[in-house]
Amino acid sequence: MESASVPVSPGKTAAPRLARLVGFNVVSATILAIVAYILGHKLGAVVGHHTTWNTASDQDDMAIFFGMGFAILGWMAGLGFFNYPLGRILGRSISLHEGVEEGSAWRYMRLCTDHKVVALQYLVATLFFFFVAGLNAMFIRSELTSVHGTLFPAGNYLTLVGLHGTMMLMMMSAGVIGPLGNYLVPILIGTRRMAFPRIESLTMWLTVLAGFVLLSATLLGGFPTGWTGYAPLSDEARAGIDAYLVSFLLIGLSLVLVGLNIITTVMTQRAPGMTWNRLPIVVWGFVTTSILAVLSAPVLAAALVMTASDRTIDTTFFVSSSGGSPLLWDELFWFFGHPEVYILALPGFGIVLEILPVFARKPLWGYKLAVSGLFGVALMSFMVWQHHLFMSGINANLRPFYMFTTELISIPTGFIFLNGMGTMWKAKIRFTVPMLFCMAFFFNFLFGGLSGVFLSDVPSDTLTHGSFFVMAHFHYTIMGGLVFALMGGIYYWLPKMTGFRLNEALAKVHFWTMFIFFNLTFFPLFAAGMLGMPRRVSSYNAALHNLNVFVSAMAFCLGLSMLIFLYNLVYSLVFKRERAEANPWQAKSLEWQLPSPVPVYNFERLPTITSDPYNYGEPDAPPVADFGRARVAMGEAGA
Amino acid sequence: MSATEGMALDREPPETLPRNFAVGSKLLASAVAFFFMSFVFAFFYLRALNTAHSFREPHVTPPAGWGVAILACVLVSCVALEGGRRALTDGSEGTWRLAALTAWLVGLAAVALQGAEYYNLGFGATSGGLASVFYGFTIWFGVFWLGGVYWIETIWAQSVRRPASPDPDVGDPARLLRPSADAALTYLYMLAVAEIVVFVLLYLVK
Repeated sequence: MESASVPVSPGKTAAPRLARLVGFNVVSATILAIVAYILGHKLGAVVGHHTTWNTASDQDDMAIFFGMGFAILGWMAGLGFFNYPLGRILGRSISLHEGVEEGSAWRYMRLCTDHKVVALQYLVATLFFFFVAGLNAMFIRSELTSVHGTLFPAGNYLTLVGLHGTMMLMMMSAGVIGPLGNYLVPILIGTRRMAFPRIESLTMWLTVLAGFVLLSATLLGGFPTGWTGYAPLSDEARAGIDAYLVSFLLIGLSLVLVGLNIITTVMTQRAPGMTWNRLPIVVWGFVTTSILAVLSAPVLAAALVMTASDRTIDTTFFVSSSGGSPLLWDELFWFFGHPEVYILALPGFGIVLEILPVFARKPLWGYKLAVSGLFGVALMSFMVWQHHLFMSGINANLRPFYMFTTELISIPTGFIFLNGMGTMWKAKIRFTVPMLFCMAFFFNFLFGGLSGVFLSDVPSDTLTHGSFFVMAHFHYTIMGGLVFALMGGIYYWLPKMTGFRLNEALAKVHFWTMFIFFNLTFFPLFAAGMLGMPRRVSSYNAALHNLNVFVSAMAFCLGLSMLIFLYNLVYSLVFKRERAEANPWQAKSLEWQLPSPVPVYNFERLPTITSDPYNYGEPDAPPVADFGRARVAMGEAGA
Repeated sequence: MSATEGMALDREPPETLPRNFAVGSKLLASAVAFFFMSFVFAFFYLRALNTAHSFREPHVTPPAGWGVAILACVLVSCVALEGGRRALTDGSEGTWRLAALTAWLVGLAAVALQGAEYYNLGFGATSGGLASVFYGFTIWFGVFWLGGVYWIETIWAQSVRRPASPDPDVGDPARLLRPSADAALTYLYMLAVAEIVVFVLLYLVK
């Protein structure tokens, strides 16, 4: 360990408000993006019109892609992301810090290399888009209250379904690893920053842009493909699909960079004494997720650019009359798409296993089993994607292999359940709100997992494919699993992140309404699926009307529970602020040994880790870390 | 007064940044490999299906001469940078600058040659599966390669300008030249491997 120390330079003097407004920030970025879109659109129209090799293509798509490409550049330029790379061309030195002004709210509106600021930016952005996607779900359920759908034309209904699915998948991918991963990883491993701080900030702002680009699909005629973007529909769709392609590409890029950053940080910046065996389980969750992101998202990106080139320069990747094949999309998309499910699930596993020991007041049962479970799921998720193609005409001889691997993946997933049950076994559980969400996670994920076995099995998949059974299954895994874990994580860590407590009574009302109405919404959909209700169609058999009305009513109540959560956030963080204690849960992990909120530089002295953070109930357990002679710690770890 | 004003912080261990470069570049290379593997997969998949007998239309024959020239530039650029890296290890910064400049210029030439090849192909992107893979791969290879060329330039510029670092965690930027060159080479080697594989598939496999 380097012993030399350097003084902290005081934050820059606050610039006048007007000067800040015209500087590099989200306001400038928005203006530049709009202007750049207009310029790019015009240029694209000219290129599309004058290029001889492009005579057969849809020139409007060329203009839209040029416009969006320019808008991305304008957005990044406005936020200041080109300043450093341009400086590097001129030979300026590497620097690690930018936009870190203590106490300034303005740093939340621009490029900032403080991982805690980026995490909060992520949280606000992803929650915003989460609520937008949730609103789409309410529209979908409204439409399904009548047998023949009267609120939206069929095409618009498809766009709603696509927007809901794509937005949820995109934002939930970023919604856990972005806020919690970026916030927790450096602190939990005992360092001050992520490995590549500017890249960290870039991923956040790309995610924001991706959300708005996806929403712009509604202005471009929508898209009929759902979140899966299947060819040849994507080749033939109206210009709204261009927004889908660009937004997913941005999220793919963001995922790769987030993953790269987290893995590098964990591999190279762990504090002395932070051996692999002491790494908090939630960090393992982020690492395994990151491996999936780094290796699977590039394949998605390749598939997306192939579709974009089919739509602009008339390549024929997915055009079967010209040497291509729509099935190529299925293969590439699901090579990403199935690991994507685990990109969502693995951080959820990590979060619940991190929280359980705190409220069970027992050590985490089977730490190494949990790590092997996380890696087992990550590895096997690359071997199962063809089960999504059972009904798409794949070679029948391939089916048994993929059926087997898909069923096999339930074994490492089962490890996580064993860890959870083992930790809670004979424990004196504190039923706090984070703990309730974690317990609900196991309840919900069990239904999601068991229904998944039916879908991995070729005969039963043949019956249920494309039905609401599939829809109920993945909502149980993604919403019942990941979103419940995320909520648990938010209630657990938000006091540390913001320095303010959330209202517990409101939080409990939120939990119980969300848990009850989630199950009342999605459990009946298994029955609807078995009774033949198809996905993505707004008209259905009249015999299913009452069931659908009931589900819609429950879904609205579920939506209401989310409003309670939103109200609690605003109430507790804006109107009725109560300072959070440094360690309200008496937790032992590193972040709770720091003040709330955590100082800009996390640790005055880089800590030396002396123990794993799960030795609850052991009276003679050593402290988790030695903070050196000038300990910043304010919390008191309880036994 | 801010929370940390007046405090003295530990400096980051000096080996952290070089290790970040090493690990980060390997992960980046892995991501790039998976991106280009998708095009390789598309080649084999579409070739096997050969829908409408249009995978390789009769007139679709990528000109091998151009392909060889582009591949040669890619390889020369890598070799030059490798030579520069070894010169850095030997403490010969002048040789490093010359080698890096060569790598940079030859790298740019590869992109220019790719642009010229498009005007001498004799087939368009619409000409079946092979043409699609050809255009898809070469366009995106050019984009990724340009990123590598940018990277070389930044390292070269830093060695020429020798700026003082404003960041105490970075320390003397000169100590980062070698790790930066290592990282850039990892990325460029991966691109070179992709180029070799795809050269065989696009230009040589009939």
